[in-house]
Amino acid sequence: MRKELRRQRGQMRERVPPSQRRRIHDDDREQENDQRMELIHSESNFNFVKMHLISHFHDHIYMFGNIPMYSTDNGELAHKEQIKDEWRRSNKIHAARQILSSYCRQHAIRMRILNLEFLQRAGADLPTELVEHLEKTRPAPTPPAHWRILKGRRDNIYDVVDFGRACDISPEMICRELIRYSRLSLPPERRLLENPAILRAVPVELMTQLEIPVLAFQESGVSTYTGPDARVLDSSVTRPVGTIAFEYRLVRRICMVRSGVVSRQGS
Amino acid sequence: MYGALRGRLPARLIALFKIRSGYMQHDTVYRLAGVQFMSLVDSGRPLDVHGLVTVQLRDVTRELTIVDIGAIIGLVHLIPETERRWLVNSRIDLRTFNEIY
Repeated sequence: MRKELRRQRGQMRERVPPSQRRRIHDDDREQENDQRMELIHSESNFNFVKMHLISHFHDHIYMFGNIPMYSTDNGELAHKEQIKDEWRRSNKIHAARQILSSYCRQHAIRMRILNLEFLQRAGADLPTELVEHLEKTRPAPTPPAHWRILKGRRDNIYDVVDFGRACDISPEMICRELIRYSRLSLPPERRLLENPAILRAVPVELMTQLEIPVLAFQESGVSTYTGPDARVLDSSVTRPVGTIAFEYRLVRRICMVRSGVVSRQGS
Repeated sequence: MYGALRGRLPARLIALFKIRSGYMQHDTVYRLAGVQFMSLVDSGRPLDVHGLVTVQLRDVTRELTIVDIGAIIGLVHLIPETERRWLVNSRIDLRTFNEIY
């Protein structure tokens, strides 16, 4: 492309003053950039091997069994656990030896814990503090709830009646569910008044979007948001969906709810 | 709980809302979500053929359940099997799915 432009300029065979030459040079560069961008836009697509292989999944499952058997997740995870985490723990000076010793130590501890758990199940007489340590559970790292951001306030929604009208749900049902939520999930000092007449008049703001922090890939303790102006609906952005859209299988807007609340609400 | 989903359950999100504290005993704001829970097929056991968990929307289910927005973990990608049954896709993350389709 650049050669072509240079050749065109060479054919002009005209002597031009330096100022004009600079302007011509700038124009050439701009034209070159435009052509390059056009080329990128015209040739960019998802038509590469990795995407094509997805179309064979269906047949492969019937021929060879389930896909997870061939998953590379284990290898990827090993790279994170064995190298990345230990690198962070090292002092970054002669890190290779520290990575090796740290991983071996972690591995030995895990094996030890597995052995102790097996002995505990088999009914061996273990010291009390050891049993307490084994029974201690560690929660999965999740961003705290207050990091969630509600956005997109809808107008003309002032109370439960308006809210019910907007969502096509009867205000009685909303009040009933609010009372149920209050009883099952809130501490006594924060509970709502269990009077439907008062609850119907409670000020309500109906929101359209919830931003949820997502743990960054292969990073522990680092969370990222994706803004609401994202090009595609990202996993960190959740919006409510109407009945018709849901029935037409627009299945993206389904949320996953943690069991702590589910068990109390569902019972 | 919930088999292979390990304590998480897909639900249809109906509404996101805040209740202001004006008429409450304490001056607080409750950030809540109205959802409709799905139920697990086969106690959340992945099917041998595809290794995915199946969920369904029951005919008789509570129309609305209110939960705190902190209980919502994120979006889940469901693959429609029938009109009221879906497979919970755990083989591709939602971000990649959105980029492809």
